Amino acid sequence: MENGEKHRIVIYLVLLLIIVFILSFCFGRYNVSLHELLRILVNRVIPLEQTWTAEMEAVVINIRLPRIVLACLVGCCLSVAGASYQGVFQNPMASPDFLGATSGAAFGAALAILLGNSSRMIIVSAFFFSLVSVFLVYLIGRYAPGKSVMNMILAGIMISSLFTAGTSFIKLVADPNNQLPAITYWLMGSLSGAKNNEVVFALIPMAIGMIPLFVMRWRINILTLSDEESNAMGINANMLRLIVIISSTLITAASVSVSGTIGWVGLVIPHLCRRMTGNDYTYLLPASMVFGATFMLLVDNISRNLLATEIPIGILTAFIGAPFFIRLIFRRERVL
Amino acid sequence: MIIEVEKLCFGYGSHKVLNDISFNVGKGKLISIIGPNGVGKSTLFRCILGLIGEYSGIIRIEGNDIKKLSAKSRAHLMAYIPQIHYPSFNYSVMDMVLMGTAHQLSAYSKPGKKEMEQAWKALAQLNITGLAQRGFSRLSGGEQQLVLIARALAQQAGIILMDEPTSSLDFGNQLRVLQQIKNLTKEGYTVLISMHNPQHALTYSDYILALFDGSIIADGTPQEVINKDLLSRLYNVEVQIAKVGGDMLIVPSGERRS
Repeated sequence: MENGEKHRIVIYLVLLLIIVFILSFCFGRYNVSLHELLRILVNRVIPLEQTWTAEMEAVVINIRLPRIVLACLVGCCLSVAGASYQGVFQNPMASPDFLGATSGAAFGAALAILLGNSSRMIIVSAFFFSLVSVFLVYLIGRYAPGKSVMNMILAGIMISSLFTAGTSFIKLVADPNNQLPAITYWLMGSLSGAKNNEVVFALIPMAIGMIPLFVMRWRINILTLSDEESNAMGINANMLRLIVIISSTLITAASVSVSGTIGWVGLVIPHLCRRMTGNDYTYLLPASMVFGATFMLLVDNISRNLLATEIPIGILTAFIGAPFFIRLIFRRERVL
Repeated sequence: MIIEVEKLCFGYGSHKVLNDISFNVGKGKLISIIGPNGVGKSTLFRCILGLIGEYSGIIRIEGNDIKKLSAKSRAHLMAYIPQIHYPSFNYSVMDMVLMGTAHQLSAYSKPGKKEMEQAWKALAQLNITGLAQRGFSRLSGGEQQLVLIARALAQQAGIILMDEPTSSLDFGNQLRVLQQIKNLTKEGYTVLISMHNPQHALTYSDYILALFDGSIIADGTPQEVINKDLLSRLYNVEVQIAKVGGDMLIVPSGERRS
């Protein structure tokens, strides 16, 4: 496939995201027509004559806007983190929870809920423990004898399982009337209750992680080679790998701390994008960003509109992701 | 001399891997390193490539002590071609070859027009431009090896180190790849190969180093080095050397009596 064609695919994906983004405002219990919606949005920039009600504006700006933006950010970050981890670990099965970021975040959130903290503190605690778990995995991988990449994969499984055990213990001792449901609900993953200030909180670590990944994305290709090869090409593989791991971990931790455990996105979306643009990260990374955002928006629209009560988004991504992945296993040779 | 190795010693702890290795390599030569598995060939390569720093002795590339060169400057001078291994992701041949240009790009840039031209030129040198858009994993072993050579050419280094380039190839591809490598030395590239098959070393190289237990036990032109005593010492088998026309042929004559 020529690069021009890959470029066009990324542009189509961006257009798709814009369409889904705008339409997502219209879905919901409270009906807002596309016409009114566009006028409300434009009014934020250029003042227009008010033809909409104050409730409409409140729904669009204070409720749907943060949620839609958050869905985009989380989808974008999880997909990019998955794609990057796959390159770093030379493993097509890698996903953002590969190094324990998700189980760490789950433990942090459960702990904060147990201690009766505010929703702000739950996010901070989830973010903190997510980083702690990956840091532990990194230390084990770095200092254990043998190949550090393999060690990290094994350490990731162990640390994840350790934090999951911790989370289970917290669930055991939590108050079954209010804390336990809160923990369970958090673990299922949800974007409901997204507020503008939470979006801003998540945005900072996301930007810090996303920028280096985006600008250095071509180099991630070289990490898929052996260290001998990359070093002989003049690339410091260890340094590059560390930068990519830290950046991917930051965006994963920021995502799961505001959204809860949302699985499969980081595994499935990069694979779909590999099909569309090929494996070169120059195109794979932007494609994963926009397609991840689009996918998450679509799933979140289903999550808040399909049933009278909201379906936690983590359940939906698993329902969509797992069967898709089974299909991928059967067609394996095309991707790998 | 383009590669100079002086009194190179290296070991892991008390285990000595390389012991007092010295040799020089001139420009445009094909040098084969032969010896049984585990004798230190790969370690020697890793030292020359600058991947191992804790050796004693001096390795100079075009007069520069490699310990004093940055990874980038080393990449300007030397390219490395590993044994074929199956990559985790199926990159296109073009993407693979472009990776060879990494050392001349800043961390934030991707290959541009100039790098694309280098890649096309490298593919053309080996007559494989037709493979450019194919997936690497779908190529035959011989084609894959040529692509890795093209990647080294795109790196635009004058010295190429190859680790057993023919080990997983069928007979025809072995000879085709070796002939291509031989052609490169005629264009002025200096090639250092660790060679599995002493017959290939005998046929294609200008110079042979025989490595045994971390030391060079013989070096010189193929005709000087290859004889039945050396081969039986290296590989623990009995062989005969036959002459066919002007060429020497290594013929096995059964297990060594012990």
